[in-house]
Amino acid sequence: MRNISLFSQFFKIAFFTLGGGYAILPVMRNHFVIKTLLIEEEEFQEYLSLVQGMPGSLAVNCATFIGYRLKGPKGAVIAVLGSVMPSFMVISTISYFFAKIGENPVVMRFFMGIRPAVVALILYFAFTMARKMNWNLTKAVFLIIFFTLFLLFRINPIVLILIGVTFGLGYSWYVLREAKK
Amino acid sequence: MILMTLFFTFFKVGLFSFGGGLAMLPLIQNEIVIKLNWISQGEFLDAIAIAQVTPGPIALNVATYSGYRVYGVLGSLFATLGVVLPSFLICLMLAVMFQKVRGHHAYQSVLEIIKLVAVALIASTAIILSPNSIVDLKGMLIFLAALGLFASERFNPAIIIICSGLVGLLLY
Repeated sequence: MRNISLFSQFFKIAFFTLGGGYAILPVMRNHFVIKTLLIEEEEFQEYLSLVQGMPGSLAVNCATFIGYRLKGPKGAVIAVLGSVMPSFMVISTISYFFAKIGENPVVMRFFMGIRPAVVALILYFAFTMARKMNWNLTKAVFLIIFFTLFLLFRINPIVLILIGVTFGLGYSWYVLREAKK
Repeated sequence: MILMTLFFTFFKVGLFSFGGGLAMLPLIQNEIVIKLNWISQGEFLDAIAIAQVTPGPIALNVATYSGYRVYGVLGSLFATLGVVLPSFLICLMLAVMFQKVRGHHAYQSVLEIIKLVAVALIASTAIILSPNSIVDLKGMLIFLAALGLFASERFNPAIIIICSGLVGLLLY
């Protein structure tokens, strides 16, 4: 596959999909697994589970894996550029105009309506994430602790994540040690 | 100097946010809105709305938009680079050696706890943003209607966002 073709495939997917990572991933699957047969289903599912356990944007991370698989490190760079470019172009253009029309009363009324919906979107996203987890009492207690630490004590999110990593490693160490006994 | 701060701020955001674009919002809010005061809560909400109704990954859209508000097109460029770079490097490393990490117990349990933190952070972000967005009864109605529509999972979220904008035009 030529470099430019790889670039344009990712560019098109990112350009024509509204709604972010969870909307883009199915489109990528459709293109690379079903239509062009470049990636096998099983492999794609592995990428999916990986990108959900990694930091960063789902869509860009998935593009990196596919690009790497198809054309090595160079492919990964090309895939990321292709996925990033549409956002960059579209948002820069919109920001340019929004700076001029943002004070317009009609635009302001439009955004008055949008803001509550955005809060609903974020809340619903937290809920869908919570729904996919296996819950038990310990986790519920931890959730409330993290919630309080951030909301009431304004602990830095990065510090909270590092605390989470430490707990996770400690727990794993404990379980593995018990298993050895 | 501002460009370097932008780059490193978004590098941190890209490195520590698990769960995709929307999971980045608590970190972006903490850095850009609360700590650095570069954009207001209201502008932050608008940025998320714009990110949702335009093509491309949400994380990139919010980064590009915030970067632009701070330092024009160059700001967009540095914010985008910052947010993409950490996960790109991690991806490359994983692509080379991922079979080893995947099933590992430590990795799994760290992931479980990080997800808990993410849920708490994201829900808190919604709560922190609500006084600036749900300002009256009409706002509350839009919020509840939108929540119901998102939960029904029958419509593309971008469509729901645009419709609530139209409702805003009618009500306000």
